[in-house]
Amino acid sequence: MSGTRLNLVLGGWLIGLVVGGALLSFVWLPHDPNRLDFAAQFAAPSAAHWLGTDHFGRDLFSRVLIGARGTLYVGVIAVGIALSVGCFVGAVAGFVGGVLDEVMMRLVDVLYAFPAILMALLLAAVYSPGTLTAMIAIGLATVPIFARLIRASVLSIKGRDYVEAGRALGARSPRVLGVYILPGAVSPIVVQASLSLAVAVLAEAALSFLGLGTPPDVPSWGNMLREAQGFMALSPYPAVVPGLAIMLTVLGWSLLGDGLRDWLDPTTRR
Amino acid sequence: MLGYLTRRFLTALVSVVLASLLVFSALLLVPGDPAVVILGMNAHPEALAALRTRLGLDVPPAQRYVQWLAGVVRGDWGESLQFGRPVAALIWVRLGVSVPLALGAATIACLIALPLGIWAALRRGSATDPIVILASQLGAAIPSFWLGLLLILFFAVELRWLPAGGFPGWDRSPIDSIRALILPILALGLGQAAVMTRMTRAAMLDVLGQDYVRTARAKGLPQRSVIYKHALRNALVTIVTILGLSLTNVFIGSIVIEQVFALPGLGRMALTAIGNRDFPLLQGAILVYASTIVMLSFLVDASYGLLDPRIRYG
Amino acid sequence: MHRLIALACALGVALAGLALAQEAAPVYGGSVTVAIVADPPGWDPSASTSQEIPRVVYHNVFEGLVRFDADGEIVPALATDWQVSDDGLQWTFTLRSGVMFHDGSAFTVDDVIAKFERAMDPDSGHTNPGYYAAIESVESAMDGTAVVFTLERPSRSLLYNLARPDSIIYPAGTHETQRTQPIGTGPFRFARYVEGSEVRLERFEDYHQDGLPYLDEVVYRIISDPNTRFAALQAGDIDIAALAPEQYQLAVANPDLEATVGTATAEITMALNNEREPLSDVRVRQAITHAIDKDAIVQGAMFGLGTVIGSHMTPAEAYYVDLTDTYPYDPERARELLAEAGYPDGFTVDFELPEPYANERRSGEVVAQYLRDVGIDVNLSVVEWGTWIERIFLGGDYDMTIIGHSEPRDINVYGNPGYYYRYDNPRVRELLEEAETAPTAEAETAAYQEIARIIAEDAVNVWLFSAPFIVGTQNDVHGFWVNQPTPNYNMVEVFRAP
Repeated sequence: MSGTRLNLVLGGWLIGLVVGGALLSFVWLPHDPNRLDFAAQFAAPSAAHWLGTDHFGRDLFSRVLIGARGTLYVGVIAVGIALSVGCFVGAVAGFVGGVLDEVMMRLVDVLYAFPAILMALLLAAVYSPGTLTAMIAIGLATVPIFARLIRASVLSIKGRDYVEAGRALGARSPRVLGVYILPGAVSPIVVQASLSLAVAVLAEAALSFLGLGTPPDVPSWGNMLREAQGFMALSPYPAVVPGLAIMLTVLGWSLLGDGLRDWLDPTTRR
Repeated sequence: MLGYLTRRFLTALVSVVLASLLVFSALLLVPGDPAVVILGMNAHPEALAALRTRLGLDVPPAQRYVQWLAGVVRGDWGESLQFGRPVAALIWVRLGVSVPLALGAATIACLIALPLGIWAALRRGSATDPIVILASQLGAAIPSFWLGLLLILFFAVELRWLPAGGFPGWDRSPIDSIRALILPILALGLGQAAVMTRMTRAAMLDVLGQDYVRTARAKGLPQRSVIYKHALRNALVTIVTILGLSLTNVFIGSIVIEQVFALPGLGRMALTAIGNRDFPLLQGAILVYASTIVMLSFLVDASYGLLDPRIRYG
Repeated sequence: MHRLIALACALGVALAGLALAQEAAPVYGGSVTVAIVADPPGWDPSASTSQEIPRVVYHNVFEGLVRFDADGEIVPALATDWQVSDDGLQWTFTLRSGVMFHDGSAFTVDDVIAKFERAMDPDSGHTNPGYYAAIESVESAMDGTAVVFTLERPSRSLLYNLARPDSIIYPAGTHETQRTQPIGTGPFRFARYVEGSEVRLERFEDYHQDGLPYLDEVVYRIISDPNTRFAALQAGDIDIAALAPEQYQLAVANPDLEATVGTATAEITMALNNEREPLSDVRVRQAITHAIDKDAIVQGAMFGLGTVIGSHMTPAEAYYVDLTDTYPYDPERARELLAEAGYPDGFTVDFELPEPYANERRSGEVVAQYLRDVGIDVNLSVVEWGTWIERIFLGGDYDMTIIGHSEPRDINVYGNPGYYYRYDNPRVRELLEEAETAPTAEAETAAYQEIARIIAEDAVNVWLFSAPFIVGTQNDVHGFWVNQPTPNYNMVEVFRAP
């Protein structure tokens, strides 16, 4: 199997697992993820608790499944924010050009100076920390990547013959942009979205770990790690399980992104 | 080229000023009152009013921003509400922890990633290449704070080789200070090394595939000479970009790592400043981070011209 | 097994003081490093009510006329003794002679007068003017060797309030600089403070009590994260650290460490906004109390280390009365009461937990689960400390929250309708007045216990448990306060000996 195929297959499997787990959690869970059971504090993996239990005796497997929802949700919304804002800004800036381009890209540059954690610090000071602020922080921090990507694509496609032809036939600007230009930029966007999802998952975990993310009673992976931190010497499972889940998800998105890039763009295939 | 650099520097400066405006106006939206945090739970209303006046919280915001920005330019960053000391001095002391941490992590990352990335590129197609790739993919996927926790558990608690956290201070014990930074640097640097390895490998492959390298090889130049004289020099441009990006990453990553290792760095100060509503300190700290990132990207752009003779700026 | 641990802890508390006293003979010299959790907002206990300040400076750096000892008894400090007139309106304190401040100036009656004139002036920025409300005047007596407090009315709490950290005395006219450069009369001088990192105290050679302190130096290192704190203790980087409950067993198992569970005056309180629908209905508040299994919270959030309480007093305090059976855990009864109050299907309520406090956060998570079990829909969120103080504590804009009230003897807040519980009961105010002017100690105790009973029956809040003071020390460090009658990491009699 070639490297490209391996990336795609492995990444696809990992993400499939996460998505499958999240979907499964809606219809079936081995235990109530919030049920406290002080008789089973820090249980090791067993038939009853497949991945063990945490400090409240809650089932780790059930919590990891529920956590998969949050990870996907935060990641997808954050990247969605970045994608829509970034596409809009990049496309308009690249297509219109001139002063507007200059101003818009300057503003994007300012965002570039605020990576997710810095943005979250600022937002947490202004609003109370939570899932929404984390998503917005990660999303805004990811805008510049998409804006620049789209702008570059638009610039490279803008001068091509078929676009000029479309214009000459009297198509109006938004139509030219929508029909002729943007479709050409889809594959780099898809690749970047997948890679950005990897970054977003890491950022969300870091923010929850700092107490700037998901509220405490929602079993997100970052929260589980934050809580488990104090108990690592008592039981490794509450910290190992979500840590692994984060790692495999990040790995999945980045493998998928790499695989997609090589697959969609034959010229870089090596 | 000088014209380009000046123009590029000016845009960077504009970005910094816009960033300062963003920070300042964002913090204006906070309905908060820092005085109550300073005085604590059982504070008396009269004492609160007196403190508010003393802190200058009754001046209109626009005026406060202009005063603040003018002060920042002169080196007067205001006074921390919590500590009652100049913000610039507090930040300076904290940078004494954060900057060595970031530089150390970036150095470790380079020391691992550059040789490994080049090596992997040269052995493309061999059995070791995919192992390096997979290892670097895995390494990049490990959350740094989680790695930090594992390092503490192993090297500090189990083996007792290195301190688990805290920082004695450079003036008191330089050796202990270095020891205190080893684990944080590893936690931060290893993940970054993984990211950089992949980028270096890709950059190297790009260059190796280009015509002039093929030509050099075809001319029968020895492999070593091809790599060092031609390929590496030309890959340097990309590697400098990677380096700039890495410095940005570790500098921002240090915020989380400082929290894990209880290091009195800038990031931890910013986090506590949020809880304490110490906005002069918080906006100072965020401004330092944001302008460092902007300036790093300026330096990367500026160094292109020096490194790649083919690039000439109009 | 957890019950056994709790029992062992109780025994440990009883024996700890005895054991430490007999263990080793004091040795002079050396340095001890203690972990504290945060930078306090300045170092003057009369400028901020933050409990982080007295933890470091009380007795170590600053003293008042009287102070608390390790058992919470009030003992002489800058005053050697005191007399009260028969009508209880004249308190005469004889001042200790030959006392020096750390800056070399002599302690005089003028410093005492300046201090209390500031404390009595509500505009001065001094903390808790209420503690000094009964004082009419402070005057020099007997050629300045004594000071006389003349009161407007008898005050049972005066002496206690004079022992509090708020009542420390520093040189007249220095209150502006005390926040950053503390100067007191204590056994340690404030030497160096590096923000976010550490505070250093040095032995004060001219301390008025001969032979103290033992140590040459004390370092308070600021480590906010409990795990880093414990790891540093295990690694030997620090000598004394307060422990999280989950760390206690690990510390006990560590042969290099001594771990103790002592008493403290913190009530972990689930505060209810008594003004807000539907919490304004006493039946709803009773239902909430019935719905919560406090034993399970002590178990789940504190690993069994904590004592369930039924009202706003801890067993460590003099007026304690056991009211844990007022509304015991009974989810059935909780549902009935909710139905009676018109909420058979429960209601939705916001529950906000303060970000910096792990015990409170964990307790909140467990509580939320119990409330959901009786049909109450809980919106749990975490708020920053600044927001908590401002919006919840001062603004009273909240439904439910959890916080540890660590000040000793603070039941008087239930007489303040503006306090964030928004509880207004004239009878409680009457009883507070009665307690303050009571002719005998018994009458005072009776009044306070009656208040505790009334607020428990009104289910003003849910008092979950009293949190113990769990501390780990290196084996060669002796003499630390294992109980906390007032929040204070007292180093005065600490020494190092193998």
